[in-house]
Amino acid sequence: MERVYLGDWLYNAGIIGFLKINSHLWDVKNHELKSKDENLLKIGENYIEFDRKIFDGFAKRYFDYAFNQYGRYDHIVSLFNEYLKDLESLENPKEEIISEIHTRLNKILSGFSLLKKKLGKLPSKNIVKKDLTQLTNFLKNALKILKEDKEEFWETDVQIYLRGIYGQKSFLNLSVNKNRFQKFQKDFEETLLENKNKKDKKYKCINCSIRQAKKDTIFDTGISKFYGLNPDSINFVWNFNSKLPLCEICEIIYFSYFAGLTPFRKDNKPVYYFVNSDTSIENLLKENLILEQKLTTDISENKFIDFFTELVLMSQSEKARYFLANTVVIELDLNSDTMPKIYSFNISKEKAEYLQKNKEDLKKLSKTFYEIKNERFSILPQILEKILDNSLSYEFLNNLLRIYLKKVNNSVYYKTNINPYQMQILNLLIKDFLEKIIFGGRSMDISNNELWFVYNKGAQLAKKLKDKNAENKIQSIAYKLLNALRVGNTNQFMDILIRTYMAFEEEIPSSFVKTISDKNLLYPLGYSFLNGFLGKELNKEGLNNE
Amino acid sequence: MRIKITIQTNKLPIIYRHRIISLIKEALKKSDKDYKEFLYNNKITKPFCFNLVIPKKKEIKKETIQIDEKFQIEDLVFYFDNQPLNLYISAYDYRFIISLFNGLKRLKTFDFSYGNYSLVNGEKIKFYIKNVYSLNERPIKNDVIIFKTNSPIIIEDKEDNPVLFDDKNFESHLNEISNRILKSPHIKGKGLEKPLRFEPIKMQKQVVKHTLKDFREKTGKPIMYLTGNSGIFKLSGHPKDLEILYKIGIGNRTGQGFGMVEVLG
Repeated sequence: MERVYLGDWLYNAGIIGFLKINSHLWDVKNHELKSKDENLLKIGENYIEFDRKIFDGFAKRYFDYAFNQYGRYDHIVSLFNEYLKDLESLENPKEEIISEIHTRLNKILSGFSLLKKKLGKLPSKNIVKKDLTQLTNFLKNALKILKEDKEEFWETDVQIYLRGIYGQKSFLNLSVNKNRFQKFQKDFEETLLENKNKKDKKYKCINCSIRQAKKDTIFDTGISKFYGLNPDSINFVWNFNSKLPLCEICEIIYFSYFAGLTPFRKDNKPVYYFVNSDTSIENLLKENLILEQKLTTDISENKFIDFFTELVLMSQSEKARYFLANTVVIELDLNSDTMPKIYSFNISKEKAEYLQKNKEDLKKLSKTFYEIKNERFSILPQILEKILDNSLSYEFLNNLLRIYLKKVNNSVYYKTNINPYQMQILNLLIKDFLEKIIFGGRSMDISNNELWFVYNKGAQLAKKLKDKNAENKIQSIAYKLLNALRVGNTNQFMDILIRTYMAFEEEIPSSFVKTISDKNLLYPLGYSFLNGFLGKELNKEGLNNE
Repeated sequence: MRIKITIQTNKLPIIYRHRIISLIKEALKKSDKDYKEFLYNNKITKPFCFNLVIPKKKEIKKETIQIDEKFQIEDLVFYFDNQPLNLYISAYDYRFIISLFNGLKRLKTFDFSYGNYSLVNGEKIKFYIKNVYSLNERPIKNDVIIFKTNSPIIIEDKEDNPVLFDDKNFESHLNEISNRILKSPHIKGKGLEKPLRFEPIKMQKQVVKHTLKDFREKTGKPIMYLTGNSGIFKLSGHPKDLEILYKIGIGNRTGQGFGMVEVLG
């Protein structure tokens, strides 16, 4: 039996990956992790122990895991089926639809050279517009090839995917362009199963210090692009010898770490998360399974961007939860070709609490976006980014309101789907953020109820204007208020506000008296009024409360 | 901020200012009692001034004016048919404007006369508050402004004697009073940025009949005669100070309906 203890975070990820690749050998029942066959795999408190027989069929499981985690193949098959369905279900598909599908197809193929090579040239846009069958046939052919040559795609995709994570070790080497699976089987499965690896005579493994090192191991990109030594940096080591001893077992554990990570799309790029709670194997596995489950729920059924923004929130609040439980979360950006970045999720306790407390309100903003000259921005990820780097402020809300007003004016360049009610939620979130994080817990001395009250007052005034056929005045007044708020000019704001109320013979909410004594309150109160004034929805909370 | 309140009533005695003060107090009490108490339970400068404009077309009669249970005088009473009275109020403090406006909205009517007070020929007068409008203010950016008085400016020396515009000490009294007022924490909290310079252009003396409960109790006289200054004048100073003075009024007794000015030119 070979025993492997918990170690550094990458090694721990390796253990989790190794367990996930061999998921047929364990089960979580009633919140307990149990081995199905202790002769093959035993799970201890801070170690796992396994027989070399575990490597029987390991290569296949390893490849399958990587293939599924990459997910490109399945994603493309389902996309192509959708395109085909779209084209066939419409009797006369519009030119824009054909053109859109053509463009997307072109983009997919440019990043998928094997498929492109097998398919040949994609007929030009003009041709498919004239003869749609050219496009549908092309798609059908693509699906046929994907099905027939699945084995080959399986092999190449695993290589492409893992090369991005590990560099060029073994079958990932650039010069290896066929029989990758066989090579992996030969280099790892067979040698481990049959204990055929030659051992270093002198050195023990620097990682476990138990087993003898594997002969000629180079502690290089084979472990990871960012972990260990690289032959390029030999001047950092004694005698310019970059060979560091590592045993075959630790090597395969490290080589499994990709499977321990939870992949996640952030800003449309893949990042990887790992929760490193090193109290026990059981906790470590369970925490990572929870994270994985949260971040991959229904993702295959929801390809819309809106859903991703919700996931971004879930990832942040999940990280906040781990942080509050004193557990480290690691985020890996393996995208960069030169050097991947590793972020530890290091936030303050207050911020973690803020994220946890306001999760539901933040979620209400998950499907909101704005567009400037056809460039689309999701609002929630921007808010989260601003929360994390301490830059969330009323300026952001001001800009959103500006875009909203432009949209209402039928601007060609500006679009948004955020409504004033959601902007009011954002207003309260900003207020809470300023109080808890920026002002270090100092309260602004104004309740959310009071702010909803003012919001409702704004809505009531707008209604009054509409009743008096003065709806056209709403926008110009809103612009003026917005400008006053942008520069924080209390006098200008109060002037416009009072004039408007007087002109329409309505009582002025006395809450505004507070803005005079405390300038900080101008923003939460001012924006509450403005949001209500522009909105249609009344909030029942705080209606009778002042 | 400046507002105009239109009031419907059929007559008004020449002694009216003390009742306008009551109207303001009454409105404030309705909407923001704390603030009313802050302003009137302490001897502090009021952050506003007012001026009541009586319509030009009017009939003037000499009639009996019952000031209170004790005092009754014969003096002028103005009669105007269906023409509203315009009460102009200028304030530096938005809390004042908000509270006043909300209070007036709730008040709707005001008893100018009550009990045996402020009766004309034994008859009661009632105010109907019609409308409140906001008015544009002139922005003050220069350090020299030409002002015109809407209501006379009262400047009093330490012995409460009036000081007139042609008195050589007028400017120094004006500076002293303004400096003291601006220093009030609820106004600017800091004295004048630089001394004011006063230059009369077309000024005249104006005597106003006025009454206050304290005065009557203290002196046993029904009314007081206040000598003020009205007309057009040039005032130089720091724009920030000039702006505050434009808003809260110039001189003494601004909260009693004196010292309201208008920017000319």
